[in-house]
Amino acid sequence: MNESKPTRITLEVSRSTAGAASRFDVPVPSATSRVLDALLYVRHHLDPTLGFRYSCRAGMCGSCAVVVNGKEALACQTAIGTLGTDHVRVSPLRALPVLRDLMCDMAPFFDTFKRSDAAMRAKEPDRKTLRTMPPGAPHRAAIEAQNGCLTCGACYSACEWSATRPGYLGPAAMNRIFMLSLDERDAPGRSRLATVAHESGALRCHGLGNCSAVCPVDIPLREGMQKLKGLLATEDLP
Amino acid sequence: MRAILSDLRLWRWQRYTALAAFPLVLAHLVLQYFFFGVDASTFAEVSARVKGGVILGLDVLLLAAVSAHGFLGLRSMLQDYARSSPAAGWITRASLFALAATFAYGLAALAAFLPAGIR
Repeated sequence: MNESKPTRITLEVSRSTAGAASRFDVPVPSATSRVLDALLYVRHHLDPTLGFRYSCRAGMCGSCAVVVNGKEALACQTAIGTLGTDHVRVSPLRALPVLRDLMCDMAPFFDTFKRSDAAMRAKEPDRKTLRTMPPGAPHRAAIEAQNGCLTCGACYSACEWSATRPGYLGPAAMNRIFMLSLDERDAPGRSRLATVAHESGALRCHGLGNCSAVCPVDIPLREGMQKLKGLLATEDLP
Repeated sequence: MRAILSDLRLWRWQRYTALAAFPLVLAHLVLQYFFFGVDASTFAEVSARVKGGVILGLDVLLLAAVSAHGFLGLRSMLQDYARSSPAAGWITRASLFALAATFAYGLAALAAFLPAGIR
């Protein structure tokens, strides 16, 4: 696709109501136009009933995660020119129930955080703010490498187990548990590992790495999972 | 019993046995190909080796590590397809039974090389 010349693409969007995909002929002003721009064009000019989510348009909120040409991505961050085709297929995230068109019910995804209790429980709960970890603090670098999750659900969608094994925790929740288990400010600390030390948790992960491949903020989820398994192999757990 | 056979414990044992199997397999290959020679495999020759004790000990450890690693790995793969806790439990029991049977058969096979007086 030429950077400077406006062109047109065929945008194929999965529809929940029609039970099939709808195809739209969409103008693309430049190769850097985003998939979200194309979806917004459809909603504004061709089909106002098209359902999809978006919010920040800056790759920060994670609400526009969809599957673009078979791979999970943020619609607002995926430049149409990088797809290398004039036929763009957009479908909802996998492993989650579809509410309407490209909008999924994210409850099963967020439920994985609840089930694994993946929330910080501060050692010093009376402090107004969480204590800052100094640069030399043990494990700080390891935590930082895994930090920045948008909770967009792309990894959950790409994980082969999330779709096929009911109750599987998924990469995002287990990544959070890994970070918390290393965090010296967290009261449960390493005892959190027990929440993922089972066959619907880290023991079931085969390390295929689809989670890392689709993460829009490039968190090395597979590597984190391997480190988490390392902790599981050595820590004394109840 | 349930705690001994917990998923985490079996998962850990799969890794421990992998670590154990690596030097044992290496030692077995080095001994077989470079120390004894591949042609020295008649019943009498193997029997003489095993009688010494060290080789027998290595073979027993190799048998235990490799069969445990293999069956625990098979259990893990089969459980990929288990859709219920009872099914997963049966897969674990069947895998451990197969492991015990394989180990017993291997021991019996090794014992066959020992002279009648030692057996």
